[in-house]
Amino acid sequence: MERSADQGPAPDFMVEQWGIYEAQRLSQMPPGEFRKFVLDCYGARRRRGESLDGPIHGWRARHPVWVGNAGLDSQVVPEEVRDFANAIRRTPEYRDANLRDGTMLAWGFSPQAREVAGRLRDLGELDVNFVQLSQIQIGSAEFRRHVVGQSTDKADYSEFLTFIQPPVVEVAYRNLGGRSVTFDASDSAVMNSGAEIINAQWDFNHDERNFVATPGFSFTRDKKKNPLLTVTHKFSRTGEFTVACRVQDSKGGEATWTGRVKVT
Amino acid sequence: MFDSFGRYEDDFVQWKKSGYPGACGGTLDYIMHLRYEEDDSRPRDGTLWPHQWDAFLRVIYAYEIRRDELAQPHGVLLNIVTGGGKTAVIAALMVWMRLAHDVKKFVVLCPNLIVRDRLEDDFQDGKVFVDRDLIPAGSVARKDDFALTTLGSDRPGGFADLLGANVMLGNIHQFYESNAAGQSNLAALMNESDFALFNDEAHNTAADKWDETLEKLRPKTLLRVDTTATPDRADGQVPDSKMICEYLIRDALWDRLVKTPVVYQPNIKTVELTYRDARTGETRSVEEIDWDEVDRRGVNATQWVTDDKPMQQQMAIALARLKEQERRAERRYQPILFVVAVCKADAEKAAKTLETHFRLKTLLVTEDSTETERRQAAELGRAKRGATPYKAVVSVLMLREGWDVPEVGVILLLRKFGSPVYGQQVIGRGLRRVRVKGVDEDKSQICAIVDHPKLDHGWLWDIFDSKIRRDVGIDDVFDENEDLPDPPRRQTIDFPDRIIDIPDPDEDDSGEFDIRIVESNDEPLANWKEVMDGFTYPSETIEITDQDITGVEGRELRPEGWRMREAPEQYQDSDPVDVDYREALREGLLEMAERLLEHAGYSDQHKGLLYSVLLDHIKTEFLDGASLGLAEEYRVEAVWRLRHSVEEKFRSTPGLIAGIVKYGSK
Repeated sequence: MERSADQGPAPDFMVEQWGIYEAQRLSQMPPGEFRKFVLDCYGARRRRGESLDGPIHGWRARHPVWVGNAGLDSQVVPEEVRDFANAIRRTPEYRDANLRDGTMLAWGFSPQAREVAGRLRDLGELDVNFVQLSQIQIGSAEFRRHVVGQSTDKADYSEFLTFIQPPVVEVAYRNLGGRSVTFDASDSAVMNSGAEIINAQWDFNHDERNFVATPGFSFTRDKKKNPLLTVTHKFSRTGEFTVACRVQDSKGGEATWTGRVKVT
Repeated sequence: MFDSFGRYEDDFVQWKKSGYPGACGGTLDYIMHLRYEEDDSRPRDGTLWPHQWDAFLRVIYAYEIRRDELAQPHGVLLNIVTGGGKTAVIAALMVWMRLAHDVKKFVVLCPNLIVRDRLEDDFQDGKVFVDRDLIPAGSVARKDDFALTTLGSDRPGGFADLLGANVMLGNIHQFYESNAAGQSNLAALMNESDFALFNDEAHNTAADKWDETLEKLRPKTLLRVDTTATPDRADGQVPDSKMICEYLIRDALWDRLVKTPVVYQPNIKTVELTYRDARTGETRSVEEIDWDEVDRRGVNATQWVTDDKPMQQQMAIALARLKEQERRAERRYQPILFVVAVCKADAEKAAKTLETHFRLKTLLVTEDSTETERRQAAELGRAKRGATPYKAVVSVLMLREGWDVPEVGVILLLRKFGSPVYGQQVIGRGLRRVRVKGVDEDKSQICAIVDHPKLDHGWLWDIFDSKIRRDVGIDDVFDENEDLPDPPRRQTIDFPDRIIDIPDPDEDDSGEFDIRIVESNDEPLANWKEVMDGFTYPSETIEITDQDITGVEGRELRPEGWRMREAPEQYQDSDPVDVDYREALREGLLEMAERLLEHAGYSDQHKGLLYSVLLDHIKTEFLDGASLGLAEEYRVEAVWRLRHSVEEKFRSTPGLIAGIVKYGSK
């Protein structure tokens, strides 16, 4: 059995636009482009002469901002936290204006990186030299709060900047005999916050290229009008079939499961 | 901002005393025109004020005597307080450049339309040149040499209009390459003769595009002069020019050029400053609002509106001050109340309250205001001498700079300033002295500012050295002479030769954090599946999933002995809760995936992967390969009871989650 995230084309990465961004594609951007995208989303800007490869990547008001790597499985490591803190310590804001804050934006932070940030903060109890770092995961609720916080009061943009994820489609089946098979996709799960499964479609004779829902299985509903995730189908003959199940969620996430099924 | 002129102060004084050695002939002639013949140390009455004269000479000194050290490459900056007359200095410098250096083109850049309109009023038809007698009769310069061309959305512009123009005034946006008009204007400028550039309100030089534009203009810029009252920008940086002149609020107070700020604060128990979010209805006190965030999000992005009661109380205090100002004005002019609101919604409410509750004719100026309303705001002082009934103007931060109406006599602050720059700019709106017929030039004038202790503006009043009246009652009325203070003592440099330049701290010497980093042993497990398949679980588990309290008894010791007390009602028997174990387990596994990823420090973008791994694991271990939906109920229930053990196994195995994230999807 195999799974595939079968999604339509993602929008271009036009940072000027609010939009729905597919996290997987973001993670494949070149490092500089990814950092620029994240800084723009966060409302941070680069200062003259500052490089996206330097120790500080941008500024939001007077707060230095650092952005991690593009890879979804990347984690901020303790050395990066320490280097960012030292870079903050060298800024005029730190030395002259006693500003002690900084923000790190990344997909993930290793436990050791968090621990170093905690120790840097705790230094403030004993010393004038300390740094308070906010470690914000890209795509997290906190990140979105900061991003949509830049928008105007006239519209609710909270839905607009979304890192959309496909649902996980899990399918199991049980032969009932007489060429009838019960398929169960109820273990499928949505990954997008606040989303729910709105439909499950079945292609019981999948050609492994194009998904064509079997008649009667393109929009299934139970008595309460909820999407039907457990269905029974009687095949025309016994033998092996490729079956596909496509699940869609209410936030635009969509994924398709395909598998070989032996019908008895 | 660092005073780059400090080390030359002594030399500058000597230069003036010695008759300006090194200055070119045209410069000497023009200086002669502006000063008294018999007393060459001060400007002729009617031309420049003494501090303007000083600023003017400093620019000449920087350009002709210390060009490499001061005027190049990014020009000079004059830090002159609001009301200090920056425009007259700019005009005098234009005439000097025309006469002494044969410069015929002058570019004046400003950040917004309000500043542009004010400058336009001053330069239109050569007004400032005539008013200040800046063009020597019989010289090669004439008023027409300074004909104004204003650029803007409703004005001419482009290559054709700029060819032959002398003084070009426009928003910086008119020279941005990102728009067609900007490209045309820029091309026109760069294809003509060299020019002198005046960058008004230079602290706005924050935008990258602004920097780029100034850089593009640089090859043709003979002299760049930045002017501002607040050189420190909101983002903590300063312009790249060199500050050669500081004429600050204390200097201006001493010279009686500006009004003295006097602050009135109510008792915090009498006036409790609270705000309501117009969208959600949430109420917060002033301390609970993140004012930095309000600044960052801008006027449209916030919906905090001052509550009715504190707004009306603060307005009552402000209107009492307006009455006092009216008595001081003695009908020679109409003092105006300026209300600074939190956001547009707050401004609209404040304007409505003044109009309907206090019956005060009020002008509201926001980003949505029309050109006419903006003009009305700019002409409030002038128009009142005609028939305008406006006694108040309400705005957010839009009028924080460039809007100069001397009649503003009372400022009511409904918001807190997180930024020192914004705070100074807003108070600056009320500092320009009223100069109308019958008003004694030597008499003190005040600007009454209604503040609130909880706004925590002590730092701002320190800057202005303001007198603060605390615990002001709603109905208090003060004698009009009571709050007129003596000018503060002025600071002067007695020994300019002793000024030292404190170098910026050496970056290498700033120290580093001595943070010991512990090596991690949590290498991602490439064989994560194998490790996971090796997990063993207890065959039986007992878990306390719920407990019912059937009764609570209390005993009280009384003189007659122990007395039993009855249980409260909520501790009576409750019905057992039906649990849909299949659904609960699915949700539980998703939450478990989130927790495990968070603990391991990974993005929840891997939640789907980990959910599938967890699901496969329990299907294999406990459900005989069946899905949750098709497995027998008792098996699902058993998994439910074991879920904590499953999570603990995954959590406590070093490198397991990292291995799944790194290798799981491959």
